[in-house]
Amino acid sequence: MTSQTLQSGEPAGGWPLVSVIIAVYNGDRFLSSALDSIFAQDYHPLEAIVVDDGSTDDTTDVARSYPAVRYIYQANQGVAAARNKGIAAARGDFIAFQDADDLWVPGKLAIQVGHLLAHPEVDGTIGMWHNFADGAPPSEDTAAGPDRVGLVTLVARREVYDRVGSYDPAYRVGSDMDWFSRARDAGVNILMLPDILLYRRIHNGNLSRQIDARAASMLRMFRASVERKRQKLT
Amino acid sequence: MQSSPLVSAVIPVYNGERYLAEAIESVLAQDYRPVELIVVDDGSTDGSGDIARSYPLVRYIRQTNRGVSVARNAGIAAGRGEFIAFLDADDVWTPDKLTVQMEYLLTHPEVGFSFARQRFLFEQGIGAPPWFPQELLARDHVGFMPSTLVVRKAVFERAGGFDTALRRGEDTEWLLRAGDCGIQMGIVQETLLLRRVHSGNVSLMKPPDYRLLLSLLKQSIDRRKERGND
Repeated sequence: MTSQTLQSGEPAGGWPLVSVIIAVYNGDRFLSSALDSIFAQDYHPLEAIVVDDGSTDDTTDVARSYPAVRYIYQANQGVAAARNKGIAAARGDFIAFQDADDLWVPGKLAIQVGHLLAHPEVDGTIGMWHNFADGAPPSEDTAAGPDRVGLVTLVARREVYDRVGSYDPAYRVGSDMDWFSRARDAGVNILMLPDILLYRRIHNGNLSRQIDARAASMLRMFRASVERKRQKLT
Repeated sequence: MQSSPLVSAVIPVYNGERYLAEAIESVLAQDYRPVELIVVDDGSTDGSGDIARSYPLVRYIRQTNRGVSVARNAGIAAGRGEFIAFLDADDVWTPDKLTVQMEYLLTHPEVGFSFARQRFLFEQGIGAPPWFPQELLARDHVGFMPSTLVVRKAVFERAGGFDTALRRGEDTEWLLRAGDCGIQMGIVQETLLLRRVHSGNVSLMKPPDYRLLLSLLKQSIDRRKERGND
């Protein structure tokens, strides 16, 4: 437990459960290191929910080799639908996400849950991430480039999803950008932390670097956001 | 923890209400921090000012209509960042645009400014004009224009700002002048801009003004000769 969490001390009802949702499609290569970085968290209790988005590789076997993992399978419907399924299955007071090719720093949940416990007016927290090249062990020293804000770092109170709604499966990529944009318009208070919370593995298959899918999603998202504001004004 | 340098994003706008909000959203969606966003309204008579001011994070500057060069220079002057990035009001950045270009500039201290690749985005019902080079349509290409440009602010002190006498070709003129001052240019090979082609797009829908381009090149050659004679 880091100092951030200890500030507030253990709450009366004990430390709240955090549900970590890992939506994965054909991620057998990196899934176990992602899961290891979850189970190595300073913070407990947590539950890890792997939502297998119709993988055709050995993702199922990797996930099932962890007795503590809750495994859910769906036919391939995309990351938004997989995350929604995970949220529906989650038992925790807080919801967190992990991508199968990323690694959490050990203090990630302690830092973020610590802030949420100390600040009841904050609905969710996000922080920074660093790239690391596939193959090199991630660290502050091997990190490439500036810190970046990572939407995938979100840890939010469960009820936020009742206010904002679920991830829109119509977005093949960028459903999290759309969700954040809707959250902002709904007045959700997301606190941005300066801490580096995860390391993102850069490899050839990164979904978010596929420019064609991204371009369409971005425009759709920006337009939807502008339209929401327009309707609010009239 | 390292802290990244501030980038000032400058959007000059003249009667750009149709697309301005999308341009602003694409800056606010950047995953790079810290960023400040400055919209310089070049005397718009449409709703551009209201749109810009509806975003609490936007620093809004208004001037009487004096052209895009004056507007960009006003943005540079107002920018508090160590780096300046430009975006035209009808274009859209990808969310990682600043991260990728800043990573490049931070690891290449000898480079004064960088460009990136762009992709054309045709509005519905808009086709490419006949003179449009086919190779630019076929694939993403390096866009030597302000919307892909990220510059160290100190470069403007050495090379000066955009030439306010020009209403077209001001970006090309600046690029040549900066090169003539010995400032090194860098190119990032990733596609970081969607450049919109629409009916009101001044620089894309008119054929290039070759006479203007030639006179800019001539000026540049003269500058280099003069420097060589010193």
